[in-house]
Amino acid sequence: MIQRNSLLDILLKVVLYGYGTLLIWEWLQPVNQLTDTDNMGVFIVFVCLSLLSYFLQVHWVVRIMILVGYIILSIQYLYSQFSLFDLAWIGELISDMKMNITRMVEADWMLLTNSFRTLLFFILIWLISYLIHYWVAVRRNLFLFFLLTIVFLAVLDTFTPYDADGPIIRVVIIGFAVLGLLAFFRLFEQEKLSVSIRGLRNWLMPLTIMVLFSGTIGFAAPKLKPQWPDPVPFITSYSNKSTGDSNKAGSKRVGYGENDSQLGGSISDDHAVVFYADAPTRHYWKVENKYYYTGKGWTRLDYPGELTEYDNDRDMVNLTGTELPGMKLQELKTTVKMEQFYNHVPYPTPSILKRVSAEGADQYIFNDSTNLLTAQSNSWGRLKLTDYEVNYYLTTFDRNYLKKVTSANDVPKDIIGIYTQLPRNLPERIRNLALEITSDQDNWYDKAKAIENYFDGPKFVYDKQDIPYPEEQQDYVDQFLFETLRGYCDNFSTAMVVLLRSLDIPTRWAKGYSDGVATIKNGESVYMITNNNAHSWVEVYFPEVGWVPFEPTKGFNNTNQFYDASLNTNSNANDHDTAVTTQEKKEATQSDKKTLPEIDKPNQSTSSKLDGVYWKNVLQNTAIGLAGVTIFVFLLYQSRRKWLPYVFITRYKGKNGTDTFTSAYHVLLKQLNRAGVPRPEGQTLREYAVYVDRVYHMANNNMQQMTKEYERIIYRGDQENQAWRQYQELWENLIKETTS
Amino acid sequence: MTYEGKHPKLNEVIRNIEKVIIGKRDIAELSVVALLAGGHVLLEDVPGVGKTMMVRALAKSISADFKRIQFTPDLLPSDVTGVSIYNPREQEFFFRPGPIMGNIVLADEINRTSPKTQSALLEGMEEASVTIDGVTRVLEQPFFVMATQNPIEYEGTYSLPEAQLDRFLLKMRMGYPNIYEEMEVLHRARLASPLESLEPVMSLVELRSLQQESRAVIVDDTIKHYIVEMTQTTRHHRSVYLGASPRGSIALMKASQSYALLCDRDYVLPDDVQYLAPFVLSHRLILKSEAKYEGITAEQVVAEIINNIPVPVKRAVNE
Repeated sequence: MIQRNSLLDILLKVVLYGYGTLLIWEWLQPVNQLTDTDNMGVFIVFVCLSLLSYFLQVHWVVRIMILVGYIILSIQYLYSQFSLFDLAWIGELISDMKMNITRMVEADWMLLTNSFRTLLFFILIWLISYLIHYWVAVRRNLFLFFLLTIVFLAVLDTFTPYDADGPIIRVVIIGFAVLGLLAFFRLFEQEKLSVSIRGLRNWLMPLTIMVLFSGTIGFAAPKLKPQWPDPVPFITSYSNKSTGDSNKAGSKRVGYGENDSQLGGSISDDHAVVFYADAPTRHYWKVENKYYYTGKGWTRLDYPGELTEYDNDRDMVNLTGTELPGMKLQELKTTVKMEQFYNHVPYPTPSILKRVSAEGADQYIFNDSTNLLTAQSNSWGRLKLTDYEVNYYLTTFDRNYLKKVTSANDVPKDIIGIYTQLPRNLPERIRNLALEITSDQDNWYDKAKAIENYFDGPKFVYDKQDIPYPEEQQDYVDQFLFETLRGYCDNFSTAMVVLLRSLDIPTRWAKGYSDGVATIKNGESVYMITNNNAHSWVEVYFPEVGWVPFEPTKGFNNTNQFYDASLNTNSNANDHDTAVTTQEKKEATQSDKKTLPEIDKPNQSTSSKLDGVYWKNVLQNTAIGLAGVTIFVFLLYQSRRKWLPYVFITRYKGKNGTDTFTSAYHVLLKQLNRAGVPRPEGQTLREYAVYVDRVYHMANNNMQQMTKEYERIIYRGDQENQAWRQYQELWENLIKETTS
Repeated sequence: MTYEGKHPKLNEVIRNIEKVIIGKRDIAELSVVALLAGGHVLLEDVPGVGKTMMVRALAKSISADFKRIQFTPDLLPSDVTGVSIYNPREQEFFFRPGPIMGNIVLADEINRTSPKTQSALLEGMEEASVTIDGVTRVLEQPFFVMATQNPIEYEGTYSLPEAQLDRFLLKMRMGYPNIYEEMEVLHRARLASPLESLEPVMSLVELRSLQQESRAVIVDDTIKHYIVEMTQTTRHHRSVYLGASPRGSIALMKASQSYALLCDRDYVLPDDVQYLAPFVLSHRLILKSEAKYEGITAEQVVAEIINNIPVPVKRAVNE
């Protein structure tokens, strides 16, 4: 009997652990597809290893040694530049961990290195496999995890590009089979029957038939179309609307890190000063670029690992006296005094940064893909700068040089891949419009200018109020170009990017601040940049020259008059028919506001890759949120000794009767158990009460008094006991005592 | 161990006994418990610790007929039960009742007499009647036997068979008094025996009504379950050859009821059961010989069982 039972036990565990491994594998599968996580095999092996160690009941010390060793070796194998036998990798690993922990404390999730992310992922998988072990070894039940897996897959299927049809069918069918088997084992265990092959076969036959039958029915049965519209845009637009109304205009656009994934809606004025700068000339201030257009807005995409670090107060480049093709450099210096503090550092544009200096900062990190500049200190991690000085080369571009570019032949492949991305369902009429506007132009520069001028026409109105969000199935740009024709910088700049991209010209969306207002502060002439100056514009890639800014937003050409001769003031009056002359004028002004010559080096190229990065962010945020909630719930549960009694105190207030007394007394017993004063099973309540009163120094012998009454209820069978009122205070005093 | 007052009438009896026997309140209480439950007591101890004194004090406190039998090897059953004697003048037999025909009977050194004579007493204890010369004579109620036996001497003793031990409700040991108690004993021994000055504090009628009352004490199903679980566990215990019988369960319940009454309570607590179980159950267990060799005693087994059975703290039955 004993032997049979243990055989049964082993069989049961094999089934459960095997299915647990399958479930984890199904969890890891989408991670592989949705993110740029590679080498999934390493993690699968880890899952198997850890579950195997639980199955074989390896001593926990040994298990931890094996698993930690495996993690370290995997990270070494995947990331280290040193060989395993060169012990330098240990030092490398330790310094890497140190740096990452600092970044983690600073909540700089984006700056975490891949090796550290891998470590965190390992820890997560470890936790999950422990959970599986718990469910298998203690609960003997995987139903909860089974259910969670289905929910997880369903959510992924709904909200992400991941196609979970296959996995769901797999999980459900195998899940039903395992649940059926479990029921079999439990039944036999309960009835103390021995497991025979025949019994198993008799059970398995109907089980298989039922699973297959229901699976087939479920698969083949006609299904309703989705009953609700796709919830994703609805949820995001809803949350955006609700925040959009309460937020001020500037902060909505300039609160960096906030997303631009749902553009549209009205914005209101916000005159709060962001910073003062004593720049020698007017120019824009850039914060970052975005380049993934979703049809509703811009998604922030980062390429971890493309961060360049620069030391504080050191030259990043020195181009003094250098001639660059197609542009002129003017070395300038500006001091910026921030009034609102952000993690990012606004810098002059179009320019090449020479040097950034600030007190307290040790390094600057420049994201080559988003052009986001952030400051760091060795001791504090990420900094929010208050005052800093920027040395930079303000650039102007040679118009004739730019006009030579007529095709993408000389543009690197990856730039083309990323910066001509458009949503698949972009309406065809946008491209037709782009072709129509630029039909007379043959080079990229003239085409961009033609589009700029198109927006300058009387058809378009600059307005910050009553700007709608696009309809559910509507493209943001399409709505602006063909329906509303009204909007602010985001409308104009996004529309221009999309128009240019539809002509296969690599373009990106830039955001930051416009030049601001000249004013006097502390006796010095400075530019004051407020939230109202939050702005977005367009940058077009020209081979050899780099990114050249264009300004499609109506009304913003005025800013250029301070650059160069005031050629531009009457350009508002131009219309489409006089495109040539307008173009001439605008070109003159445009030529002053130029570009960053850095050439972006994004990874690979395809838009599915970008999808992956986006969903990786979503997954990360969800994971962090879930982890937070889990930790919160766990802490709440752990500290229930402290707060639960107060819940019960309110619950039993004003009640009376036998049931109240009994349940209050039971609550007290449980609470005492939690408080570390448990009652041995063989101890009578009376003896226990004496002990409790002694432990808590109850002068009135609260517990003994209550126990005496309680005894009357349970051992005498008093049904009409109304004594609770009388004992309530004693009870409250004692249970409060247990929380301390 | 309990913190409630005693039943006033019973307390008087116990105080009376305490005047004579010093420091043995628990034994006095247990004797009263047995008396109330209608059971009998086996006192096992060496001579000279006050067994007889104790019984006499109890008998004197109740205005009851007290009889004493000193068991010897040559005692005959008729010496216990009584005998019919031929009266030549009347020309007929008349019955001379033996010492068993009393309310409170002290059976001293019960293991010294032959099994035949022991049986005469034990039959009377069990059936509350004796059969003499074909005539069954019912014993007057209350009928309460306190037997004593000396555990030291084995020469010329007939130890009671296990089946007959079962007839006793409680088996207990007096034990020696502690140093202060014994000094107090000496102090009192200088004076006249206090036994002589004892006055009865309870009538037979009162005793009978208290016996009735003890039978009315509430035993909730949870407690019954607890009692049965305890006796049943003795039957499966690894050291026990023969466990307690259902009679043991009944005895434990009745004793608990009486004890509850003594504590002036009309319902039984698990505490009562736990307190009485060693006295009620120990002599009903027959241990396996290997357990005996290991030095395990029946008292230890009962104590272990008490510790291991969960005390019911919720109502077992849903109304």
